[in-house]
Amino acid sequence: MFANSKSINTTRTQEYFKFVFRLKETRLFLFLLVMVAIMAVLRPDTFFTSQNLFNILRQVSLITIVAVSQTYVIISGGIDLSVGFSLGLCGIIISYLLDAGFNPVLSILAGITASVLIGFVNSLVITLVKLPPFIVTIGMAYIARGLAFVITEGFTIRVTNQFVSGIANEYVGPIPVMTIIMLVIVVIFSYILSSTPFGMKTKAVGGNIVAARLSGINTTRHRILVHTLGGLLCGIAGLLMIGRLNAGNPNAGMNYDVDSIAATVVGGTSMTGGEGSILGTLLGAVLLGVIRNALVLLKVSMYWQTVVAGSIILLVCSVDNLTNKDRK
Amino acid sequence: MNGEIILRMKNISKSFPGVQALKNVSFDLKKGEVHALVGENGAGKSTLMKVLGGVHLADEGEIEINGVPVEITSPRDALDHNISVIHQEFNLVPTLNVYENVFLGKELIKKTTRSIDRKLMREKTKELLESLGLTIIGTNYDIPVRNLSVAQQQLVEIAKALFNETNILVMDEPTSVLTSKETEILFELINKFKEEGMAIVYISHRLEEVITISDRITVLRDGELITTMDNSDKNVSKDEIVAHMIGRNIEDYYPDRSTDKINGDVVLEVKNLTAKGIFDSVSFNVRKGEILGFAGLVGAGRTEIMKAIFGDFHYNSGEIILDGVKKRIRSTTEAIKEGIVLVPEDRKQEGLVLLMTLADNISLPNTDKITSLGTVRRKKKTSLANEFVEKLAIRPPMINRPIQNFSGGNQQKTVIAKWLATNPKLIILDEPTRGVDVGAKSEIYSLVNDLTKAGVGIVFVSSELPELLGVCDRILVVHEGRISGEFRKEEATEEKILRAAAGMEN
Repeated sequence: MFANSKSINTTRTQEYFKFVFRLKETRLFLFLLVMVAIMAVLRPDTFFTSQNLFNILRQVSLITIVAVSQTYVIISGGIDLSVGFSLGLCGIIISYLLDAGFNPVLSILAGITASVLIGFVNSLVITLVKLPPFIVTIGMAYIARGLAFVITEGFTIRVTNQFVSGIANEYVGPIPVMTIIMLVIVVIFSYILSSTPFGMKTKAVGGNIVAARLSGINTTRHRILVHTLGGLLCGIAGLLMIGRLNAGNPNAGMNYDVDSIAATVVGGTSMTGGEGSILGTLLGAVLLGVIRNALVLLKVSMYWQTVVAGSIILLVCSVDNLTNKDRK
Repeated sequence: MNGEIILRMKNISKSFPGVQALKNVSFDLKKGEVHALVGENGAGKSTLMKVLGGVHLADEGEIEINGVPVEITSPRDALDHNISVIHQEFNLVPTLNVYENVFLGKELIKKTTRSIDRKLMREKTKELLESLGLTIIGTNYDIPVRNLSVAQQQLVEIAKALFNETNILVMDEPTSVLTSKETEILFELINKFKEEGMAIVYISHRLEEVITISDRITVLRDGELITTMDNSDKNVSKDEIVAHMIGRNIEDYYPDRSTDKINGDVVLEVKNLTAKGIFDSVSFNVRKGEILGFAGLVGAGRTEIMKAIFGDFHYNSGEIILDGVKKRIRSTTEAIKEGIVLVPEDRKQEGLVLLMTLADNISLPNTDKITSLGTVRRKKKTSLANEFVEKLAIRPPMINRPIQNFSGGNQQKTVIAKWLATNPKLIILDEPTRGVDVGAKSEIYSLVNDLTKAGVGIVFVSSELPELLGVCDRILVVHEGRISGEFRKEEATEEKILRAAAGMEN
């Protein structure tokens, strides 16, 4: 009797480990550890220092926040190519209003509202006009970028507000405030995705929108919520970005769309929607950050860095696709 | 020479995740014969022919053509062996026109300019169709085939097959979308092909047609070959085929409803429901504990009527009255709140989120039951799923397995389970046994029967007449969006229903 229950326990533990090992997140984490280990050997003095490691974490904070937004949109069956210029426009609005002497709280709210509106309008056009997300968000990206140039007439606006630059540059002990904000967002959105009806419905909408609708889910409302929430995250990222740069630059959001998609996909989220995780996205973003940092420390030329980063993205995704037999 | 064996498929096995579609099936075909393949949905007929057509690769088994072993690993290989398959779902490019489809992949090229010779392709297609006496496409050679009727599209498929040199022609449910006139034309064609020595595999649900047209009849059930019958004298009886198909007597197959009297209150009344161009002035009612059947041809509007009641299809006028109260249902969310649920006809496209687990699929419309403080409680989710897995005998009882790895029957039970968990007053089942094995069918019938004992009203839409006759208390027939017949169980026959479905007077 006793022995019996014990053996059941062992098999359960074994199964649990098997399950954990089969998770994409675990494999990604192991890959990350390997990268860190290699670098720790190659560049012990420059790479494997707490300062450099926290530096990486701060560098990836912005992209992670944007990628969390992207992950939600992709899991719900869409794609958002406007995230970069959405956060760019948010930053420009905040810097412009601050520069013009407006109340900082109102300025920040105005900027974030702009990003929320961009997400909201994206989703309205996608769900009501029924245009493909790809087209809608590309169009919106042009509009946001254009507006940023309209506001600034192409110039960079200096940001001197203490609070704005503080949240992006200060530390709590050794940990950058920006990283703490990022981790809080990751925890909240990871929880929502994995443990709430909202998260479950997001996966259902992306996995099979017809079945979701026929299960009584208001899919239109749900997609609008996902995009609007995504806009909120872009807004927060926009705020942090101008704080980091101490300036609002109309081109600053460039590349964030592609980078956020890369982090999401490397993190194991399916481009066809329906499955994915925020933890994976965090690991994806950190992995890309470590690679970039490593290439800098290895003194690889800046142009080659991009080539190598792209190759690693393809490699990670190919290995994942070839080893995972569940997906076809 | 006619009568010679042209094709031999030996011990073919094929499995998909969660289901063994074919078990050791052997099948042969002679020149100049029509060999019918029958069996319930999910019996493996289409899979067997997809193996022959190079769409699926068999896990085990051999194929011989004219006594020579061959490997068919792609549709191209099948064509090279002069095998043409007309699948149930057509392989036409909807945006191309008739002759572009017919010559797809083997376009005729002008010698001088190396460009596509549309004129010649058009002429050749027209010539062929007219030589067969088919004027049905009329002058519509130049419009995209998606604008043609289904019957016309079928002819385009046949024309495509004939332009390839075809020795073996497979037709999967060719008449399911044809009118009786069009079916006659098709049968004349088949007889003509036979005389020319073509060997034809004919898959159909319509047993009368099978008996009329075929020389031999092979019955499959749950992926196994049951028997091959000689029908050269056209005297195989329908009952004999059916008994082979379901593997037991019909009396044991359907639940006994004769003792139940249905005199409960009306749970749903529909008055003059109309959606322009789709259905028109549809009126009926369903009582508590009643099973109301809906028959009709594909495209008659049954599915749309059901979706309208479920809040997922816009209607222009009419009333939906639930328990005596008039309701305007604008969304599926509202329908579910009112106690109306729908098991859709295509469970993979519409009923389930295939990536999700069994438990998650059951949870989807029941999130309120498993959530507290905004968080999904794993324990509640598990116990909800387990409760219904047990109740409906879903196998295997692994609630955290992705639903795509379950067999058709268990997937369908899961769709039903997710709705039972919402405590509905009225369950609409649209083709609930399509693609489900015989055992699961029988289980679904008795499940539906049990539900009526608890006072649930059932609307049962099906294209399989024996099933409707076996299960329902009353059957309505839909023809071109209107109700064209109503029969009580005692008076209903297949013939009466078919006539009503075709719009003929009874």
